[in-house]
Amino acid sequence: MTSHERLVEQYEDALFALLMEGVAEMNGQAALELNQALQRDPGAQVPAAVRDRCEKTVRAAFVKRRLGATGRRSARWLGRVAVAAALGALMFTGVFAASEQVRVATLNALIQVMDDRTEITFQGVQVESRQNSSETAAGLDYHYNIALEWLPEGFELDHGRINSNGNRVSYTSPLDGEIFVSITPCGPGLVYNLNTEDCKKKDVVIRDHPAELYITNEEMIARRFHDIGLINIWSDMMIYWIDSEQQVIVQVDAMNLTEEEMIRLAEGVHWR
Amino acid sequence: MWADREIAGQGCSDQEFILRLYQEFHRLMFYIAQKYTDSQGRQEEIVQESLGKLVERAGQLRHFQPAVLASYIAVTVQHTAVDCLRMLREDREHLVCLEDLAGQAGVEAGEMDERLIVQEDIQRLNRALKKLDPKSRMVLEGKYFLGYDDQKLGRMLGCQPASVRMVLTRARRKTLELMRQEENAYDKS
Repeated sequence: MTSHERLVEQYEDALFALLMEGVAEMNGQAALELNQALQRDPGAQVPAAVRDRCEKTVRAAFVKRRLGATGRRSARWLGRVAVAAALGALMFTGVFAASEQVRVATLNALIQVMDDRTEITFQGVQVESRQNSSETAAGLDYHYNIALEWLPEGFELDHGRINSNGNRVSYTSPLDGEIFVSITPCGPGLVYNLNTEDCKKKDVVIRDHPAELYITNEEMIARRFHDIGLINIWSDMMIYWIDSEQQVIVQVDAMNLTEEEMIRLAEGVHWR
Repeated sequence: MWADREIAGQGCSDQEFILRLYQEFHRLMFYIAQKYTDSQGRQEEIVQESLGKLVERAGQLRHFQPAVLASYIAVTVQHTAVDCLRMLREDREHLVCLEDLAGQAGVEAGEMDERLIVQEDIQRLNRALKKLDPKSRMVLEGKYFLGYDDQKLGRMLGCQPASVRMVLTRARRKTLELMRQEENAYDKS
């Protein structure tokens, strides 16, 4: 690149920076007016449950940012994967239910139960040979790298996503029921939030992993769903466990299932 | 309303500021997300991802004027929507906002004119951006609205950071050519 070309490029860059600032202001005025119109439009209302979840996302992002800033990454993943695989389940089983400060194999997880949520913070450094996948099950259909051995009648695949934060798939039924399954790799600094507000907790075991089943109480179901017109929802449950061998959190959320069906659903989760 | 304040978010923490921002603009964010997908689940994902991006730049956003802030939020949601859907469909060539479908022009690169920075240019640029192909528009918005660095722009475009400079140059020149065409058409009429 010649000196002249470089100067032209710098000039264009500065010109665009100035002009785009003007465009941002111009379009911003239109966006402000649109926002004001939407505030007055009852049809643009966002359900309270959705708003709550988005606000939780903001809070979680700030917790993650604070953790990163204060260097609370003192705990370490120790040892080799082989050792972790051998010891993980034993160590995890012993302390999971009883303690806030949990050591999952070589992974430290701080579990904080708050009024509106349960927050799990993982501390440590990355294990290079992590797999984050269970054995691929033959004969099952994988969607977004997740397969279910059993899907309740009437539920159909809706959508999903695959990204660096993990895999997620959802299913819906015609009667407003929804099932979400997510597989999230437990990396250092991960802050994982679970909506456990107004839930009854039960300890269960899913494929040899200690897991927690949260059953949303009726009052919350009424507030979260019935009040916004989703009157067909009669149950809302969440089950999660940490697979210390694969170093993932598995979370299953489902509506309109019984406890037995919920556990059956969770038992049949596979990922790759 | 935010429009009534000179600077939004004075005297509160970054977290409170972003939460207030969200409370003020959540309808706009979902409204924009709805343009890209009918799925409510995906709309929520788009808004949540957008919020994550706003959190990253909370300190900077606090000093924006309300109109620039609104524009920043709108463009962030648009970009996030395209990103999310592209990842989902793995089909980056066919993803554009429905509003962007009209008037996509293929334009040859041209030479640079020296121009005065006047309101007329801003309006002309705004119109040119709407005619620009989605990729060029996104890279310009990413660079000049959202302040993305080459690394981030490279990820967005699916190219190496070293190639971003060339993509930006092409995008700028396409835009300038569109602006020049409009100017010429106006002169002839």
